[in-house]
Amino acid sequence: MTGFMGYDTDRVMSLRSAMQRAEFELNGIRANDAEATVAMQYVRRAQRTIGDTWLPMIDSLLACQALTAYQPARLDANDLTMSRLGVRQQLYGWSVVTDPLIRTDGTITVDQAQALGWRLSNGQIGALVSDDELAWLDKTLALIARRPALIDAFLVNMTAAGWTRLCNQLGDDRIALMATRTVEGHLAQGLQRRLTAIDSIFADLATVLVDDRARHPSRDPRSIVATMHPYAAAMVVQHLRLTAAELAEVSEKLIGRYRSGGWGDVQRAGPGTADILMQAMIQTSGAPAAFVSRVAHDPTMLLDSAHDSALAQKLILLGTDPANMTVHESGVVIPGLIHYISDSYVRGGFYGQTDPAVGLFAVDLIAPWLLQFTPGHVAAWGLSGGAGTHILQSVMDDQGAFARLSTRREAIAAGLTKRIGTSSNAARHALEDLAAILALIDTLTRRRTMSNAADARQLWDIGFAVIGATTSVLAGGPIANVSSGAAFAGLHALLIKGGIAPMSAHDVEHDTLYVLDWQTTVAAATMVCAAFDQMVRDGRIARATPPPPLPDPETTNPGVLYSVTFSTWLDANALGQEGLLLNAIKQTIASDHEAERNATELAMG
Amino acid sequence: MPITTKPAEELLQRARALRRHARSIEQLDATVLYRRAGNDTWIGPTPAHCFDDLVNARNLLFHACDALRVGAARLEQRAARLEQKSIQVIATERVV
Repeated sequence: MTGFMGYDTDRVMSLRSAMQRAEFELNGIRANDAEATVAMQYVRRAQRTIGDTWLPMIDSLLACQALTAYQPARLDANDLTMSRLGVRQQLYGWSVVTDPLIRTDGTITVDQAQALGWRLSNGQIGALVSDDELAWLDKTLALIARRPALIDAFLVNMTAAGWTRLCNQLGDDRIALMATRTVEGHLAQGLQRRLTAIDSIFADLATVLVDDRARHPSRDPRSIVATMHPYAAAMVVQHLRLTAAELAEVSEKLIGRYRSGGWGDVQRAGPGTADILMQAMIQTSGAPAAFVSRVAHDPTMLLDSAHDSALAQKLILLGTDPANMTVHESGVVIPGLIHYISDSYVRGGFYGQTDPAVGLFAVDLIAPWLLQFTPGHVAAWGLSGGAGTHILQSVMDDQGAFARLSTRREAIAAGLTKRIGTSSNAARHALEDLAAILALIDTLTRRRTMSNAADARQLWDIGFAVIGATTSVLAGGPIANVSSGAAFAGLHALLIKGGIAPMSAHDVEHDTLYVLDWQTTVAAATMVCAAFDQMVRDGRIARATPPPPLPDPETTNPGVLYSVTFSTWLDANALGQEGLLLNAIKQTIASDHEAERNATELAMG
Repeated sequence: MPITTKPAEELLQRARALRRHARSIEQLDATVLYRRAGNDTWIGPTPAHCFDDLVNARNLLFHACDALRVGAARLEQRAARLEQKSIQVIATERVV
């Protein structure tokens, strides 16, 4: 309550008449029977309440006596906290006087909610500067948002113009507070409370809209935010619990309007329109992919809208994750983004400074889709000729990029697994795709010289990640089953003995070709061992059959030597159809021809 | 069974009077006075206090009605006991 009292004079006079009648009637109730003693005590108490307390009070009020407690008052038309009485005084001619009682029972009535909606829609809330007003509005809206009846009452008088004006005012206020915090490094306690109240009010307003839509599905809150400043709209939208498609659609519109310029939040003080919306999309399953697809034609919407570039990059990576996007969709999005990032203006930054983070982000972007850059898959992205290679070269242009690719090896493996998992002929495609990825890594690494063990280790890590991913889907089961076989166990022991990675520091003096030759040999051996173990488990190969040979880490030509020993093993064991299949697996990943070529190149130095 | 004893009849008359009082009180304007003191009439801390008091007054009056009816029931039970006792006395005298 407010400390003010408002009344309709005619109705109060009617109340007084009724009280007088009631008091007279009560006075006439008499009963001398001893059994009526208690009852008559109740009657007299009711009579005193009316006759001794409230009749004199109303008499005084209507007699216009100069009472110190009840002074006539003219309410400030813009005072939100007085909206309930102010609306009645303004619209219905009620009298308002000061009220000595202060009543704070933490409740709100339907007419209070109606009055607040009217005041917000018709008053001058540009003067919404009082901290007390904001705190009151926060508390009142929180109460309204909890009860559908109050929400209906609030909305009945809340016009679209009212929504826009209120939210714009709050949004502009918030931008100013964020700017102050940025400049001064902190906010004073009072200003921090104000910021908290504003955020809470935005959340309450959104809750009102969400509840209203839940009960009236035809009412779309997106129409409410359409006329607000983008920043204010974003502050509401983030709480609207929209579907992924709805959120992506409204975000595209709002960020598009924001980019048209002229808004207060372009000062990069704290999260801006795009930051708020992107954060909301990140937290809404499916929204990043929907948004990235919607704005694929305009990379600036993704990469040059948010104040926090890391946030935008997070959204893009989430949206373009193979788990959230098809190959076709990614082909629409990723090449365009890479072209935009490769642009000298973007990479150079606005002031001409280099921005290595953008380049590394590009590596993150392509890592899960590395398979699409291999000859067998580039067409699925609608790229022709060397376009895929050109894109890849623009990304993998320095040692830092290669190191980054190494850190993203799990993403590469996951992307490969997703591709295999959706293939109708998983086993065959797995081998082909593994070989393609290894060849692609070969292509990338041949452009640079491995100068130390760490570089070689990165290369090996990438390769081993994709080998592991492929093994997990080959030969009928997860890698736990595969690795339980005797042949694979032997290979694993060999790798452990060799320190997992194939080379020690002094071995790095070999060129990268050795690394790739060793890696494809290990990949072929891994697949052959896994398939052999599965065949033994299935009874297709006798248990007494000697396991396939393992690569020799000591030799200078691991590929050629493995091809020879593998062929010898096949000839010695007469495995029939299974032998042909194992040979096909080996040849798919590491062909004899390729091994011989590698050996020749190695011998030539 | 018709009541014939004078004391019992007096008790029943008192009970009927109490019940009449209860009905009268229930029909008083005071029981619906609160309806005129709502937010359509006035708003503020004092009006809210007045509204609460008038609702309380209505409750007091209904408590009074309940008390009167309890008193009436008590008198009616006493009358019934007196009547029962007088019937037993008459029956005993006839046997003797």
